[in-house]
Amino acid sequence: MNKKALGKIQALLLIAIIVIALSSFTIWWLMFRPTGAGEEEKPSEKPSEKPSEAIKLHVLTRHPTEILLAARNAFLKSDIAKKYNITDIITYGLAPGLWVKYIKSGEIDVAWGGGPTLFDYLYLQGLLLPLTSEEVLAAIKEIPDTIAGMPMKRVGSDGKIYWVAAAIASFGFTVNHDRLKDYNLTVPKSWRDLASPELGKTLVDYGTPALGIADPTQSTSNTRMYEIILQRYGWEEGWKILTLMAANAEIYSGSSDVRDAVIRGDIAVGITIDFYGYTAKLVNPKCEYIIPEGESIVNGDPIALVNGTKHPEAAQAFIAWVLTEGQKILLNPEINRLPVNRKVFDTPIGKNRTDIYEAYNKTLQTTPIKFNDTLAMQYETVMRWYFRAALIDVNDALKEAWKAILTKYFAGELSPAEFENLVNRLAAPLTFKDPETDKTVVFTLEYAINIQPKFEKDASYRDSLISAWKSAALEKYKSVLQSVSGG
Amino acid sequence: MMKEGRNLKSRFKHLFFYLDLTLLTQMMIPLFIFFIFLIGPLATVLYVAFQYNPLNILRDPTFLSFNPQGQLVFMAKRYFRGEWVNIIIFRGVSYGVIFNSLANAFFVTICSSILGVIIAFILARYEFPGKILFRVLATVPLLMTPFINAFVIKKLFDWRDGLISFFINDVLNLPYRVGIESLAGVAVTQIMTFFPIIYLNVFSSMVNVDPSLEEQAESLGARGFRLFRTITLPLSLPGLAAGSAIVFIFSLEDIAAPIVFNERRFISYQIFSRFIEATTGQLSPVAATLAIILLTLALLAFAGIKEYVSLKQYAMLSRGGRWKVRISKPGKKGLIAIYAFVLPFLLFTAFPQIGVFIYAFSQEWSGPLPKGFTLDNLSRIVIDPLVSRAIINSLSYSIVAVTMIAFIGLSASYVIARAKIPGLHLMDLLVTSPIALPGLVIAVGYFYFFSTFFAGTILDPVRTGPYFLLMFAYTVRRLPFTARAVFAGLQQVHVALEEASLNLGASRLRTLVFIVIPLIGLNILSGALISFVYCMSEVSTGVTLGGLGGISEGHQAPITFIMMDYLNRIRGPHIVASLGVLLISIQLTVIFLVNFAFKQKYAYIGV
Repeated sequence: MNKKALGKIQALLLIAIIVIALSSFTIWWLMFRPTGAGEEEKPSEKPSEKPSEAIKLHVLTRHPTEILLAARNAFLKSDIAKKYNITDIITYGLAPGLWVKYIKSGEIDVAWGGGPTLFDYLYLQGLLLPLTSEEVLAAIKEIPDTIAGMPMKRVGSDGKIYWVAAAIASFGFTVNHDRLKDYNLTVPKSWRDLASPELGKTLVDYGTPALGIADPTQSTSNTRMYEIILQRYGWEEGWKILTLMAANAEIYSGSSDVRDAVIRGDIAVGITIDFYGYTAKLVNPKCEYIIPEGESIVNGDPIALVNGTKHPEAAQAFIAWVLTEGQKILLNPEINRLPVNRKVFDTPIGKNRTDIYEAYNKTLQTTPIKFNDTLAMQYETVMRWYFRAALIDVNDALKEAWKAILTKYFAGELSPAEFENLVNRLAAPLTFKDPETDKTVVFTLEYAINIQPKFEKDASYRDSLISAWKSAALEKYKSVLQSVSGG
Repeated sequence: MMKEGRNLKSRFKHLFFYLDLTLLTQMMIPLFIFFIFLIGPLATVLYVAFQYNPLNILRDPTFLSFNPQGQLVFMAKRYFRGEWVNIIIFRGVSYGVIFNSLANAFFVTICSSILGVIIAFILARYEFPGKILFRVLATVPLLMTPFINAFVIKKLFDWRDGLISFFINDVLNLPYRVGIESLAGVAVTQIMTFFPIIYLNVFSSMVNVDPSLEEQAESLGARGFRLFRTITLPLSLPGLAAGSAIVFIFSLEDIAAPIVFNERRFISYQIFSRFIEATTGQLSPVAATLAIILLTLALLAFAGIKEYVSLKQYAMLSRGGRWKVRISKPGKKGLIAIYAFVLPFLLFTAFPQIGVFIYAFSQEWSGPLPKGFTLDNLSRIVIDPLVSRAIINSLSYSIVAVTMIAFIGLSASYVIARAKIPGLHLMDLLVTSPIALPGLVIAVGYFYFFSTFFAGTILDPVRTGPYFLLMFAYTVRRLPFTARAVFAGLQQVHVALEEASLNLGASRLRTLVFIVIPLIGLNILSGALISFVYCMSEVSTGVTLGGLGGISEGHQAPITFIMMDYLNRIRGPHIVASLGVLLISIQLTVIFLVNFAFKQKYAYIGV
């Protein structure tokens, strides 16, 4: 009994020691190894750099990990990295709301990927430095000033360049041809097609939506597409199209959810940024990306030097690499983005990706719409939350009304004029009671621009507006439903 | 007056005589931990919720509405893929977020109860060839593979390309296509996943029913269903009540099925989606209000069963059947019913786990049938730095949590078992309550409590990332399993052994280390292993708090967050399934160790 008890004690003690040792090790490991979110070793204090000093660059980014990993691996092997003794690229994938705070903390060297709107905002806040080193200027010379009429460089009032596009993208929709065939649908060609009763027929016939869109409050690419629609068709007509799209669609939280739903065939068509479409086609050859002719824009996704960097020369060397050698990464089969530097297609990798080359040429030749970035920024926040409140949160009621209209329409019980009338009632911008002034107002472009400053700062004003929009929308959809089923 | 004073004084004297330093420490540490990491956060949620005016939510028709939206079933005859078919799609009706969660929880609980009771009765009272297979199949759904199991079910029930419609329409050539989507999809997934909890609880209750009671009833003329209804079922009620309440709570807080079915109209999803917006450091107060609603519902359910899940009850149940169980052989009709209905049903409910293996080892599964065999997916989880990092994170958090759980659980159970002071049943309640507390509520609470009161420190999830908080979340949430195991073990160790040691001059601490721990060592280890398994597959705090540090190479998110995130990537389901296989392997190892190597027969209530 003694020996047995002793043996058991020893065994348990041994286990306890091992567990404690493991736990201490993991705690130490988690706390003192770089984790990429906040607590980092401080970059070297000396502003001047001797090549012998190892440099780690800190990059703030909205690019997904595939790009970041590929870039890090390729860059650290390159000559330019060795020349500047850059031993690591540490990336921070953070939501745009945290960028200003991180940049101001002085820990960031480079900002990479996040869309021109975000970078213009950073530029206006004085958070970017001009690109001046020889290497980076030589690289910039290889990049065109504009593509399809959209700027690929931000030139400041001092004539210096503050950001450069490192990749380009267009916006359109990805279709699943198999599913289109299943539902007897033709391939949509314009944004308006996505708002059509034909697309809505799937709802009536099968109870399942054929279209997919994402919540703009959680997706910047979808926000962009809604802004494109509003500027292409004008405010009134644009909101009608957006409303009917929301009625026709399954709502997803993120843009990649939309892409995946198309790949899987949950939906027949989803609005996506172009590289999601190219990726979809690689995974499921029945998928295809379609750019609505004359109704899209080409965005340059910028890279820039951050104000507060401790390694301006090394950082600019990295930027120069991204604009030249680094373009090859975009042609990786998991990434599939359009490069901004044409020379990449002369490399072996570039020659291999004929599909991307084709898409690149198509994009260059596309006629874009005239897009006013400044105007878009003036109502963007309000637009996103109005979309969410009036079209997404009460989507069930919107669909009920739309389905009722369509059922009668396809049964031939509605004249074209009646149909037009109902659609206008359903989809026009809301008339509602402003919670502050208590006056009945219409959601016009001017109204949106006017309230945006207060909307962004005052949380309770925002909440009350969102409430007002939700109730007004609900009322409207219910009354349309009643008109249809009653009449 | 004098008498009362003396009573009070002597009570205090008795108390302090009894409590030595060791016992006091063992009482204080769990209380302290629970205060900071459970009570504090919950109180903060209450505070935030009431600041915001919670009644606003009840007036919002998207949260509570008496107008149903949508339809329960979509049925129509359509021309599809070249032929006329009857399309039947179950979707479900929405009455607003709050009502949906409540109604869904009730529906899932009732259906799971009916199924669980039937299965439990058949397996407890009948003997037939192949019974062991039935018992195994019935518990397979409990092998946790979050997200991917819901994904398999969704795929199974897709009316266009799913296996079921394929079988009915394309193989059997019947003109029907069946689908289950949105609200209905969530309900079906939850029923399939949770009914084993009821089965196991009812089963262990049934085998603990005194057979002489049934014999007496039989000899008085009660047979068959009457016997079942009047004797067996009422006596199994403790197990049924405990199981139902737990399923009810689990259904309320389930976040995985709503995410997979893209069904936003649940309380759990609404809380989760606000966490996605919380990366800027602000969590919408609507999350707090919803958390309070969730908490209230869960506490109501828990209050109903708190005696049944207390440490004492668990210890009694786990001691196992004290008598020979009444088992009979079913007649011909019974056998046919068992093999024709019960077996296919159990195979069906085990399909999600089977599907996980199919996904993990197949190259492609885009249509109804999978294609190609590959080990690539498994190797991907080691090669992909995000995934391997997540595995390391989960292992680290779980190991640290289990270490803390072992110490705290041992302390708390020892105090509850041995200390003779009033108010211990409260501590019992406190220590078992995390089973019933929805993880989402804890996640919300942690966010508010730590980002407010500990801003800028190592505990601030917004600044330094969530790793520290996740360890404590796991500790608090998974403590009950170890506490229960230890308590059960302590019941079987006679207190005289400790008293003898104390009499001979050993301190309480020495007695604890050299007498008690060796005797219940296996209980501690088994409890710790079970807690470990549940830490590895913890979803609620992992997918909310876990995402706060962002996803880059050195991220802090656990396996479950990556599983949710990867579901929407290229080849995602295959990789998520590989992680599922990893989790299943860990669980099977632990089950084997606990049940066969350590011979701890637990009233494994599947929780």
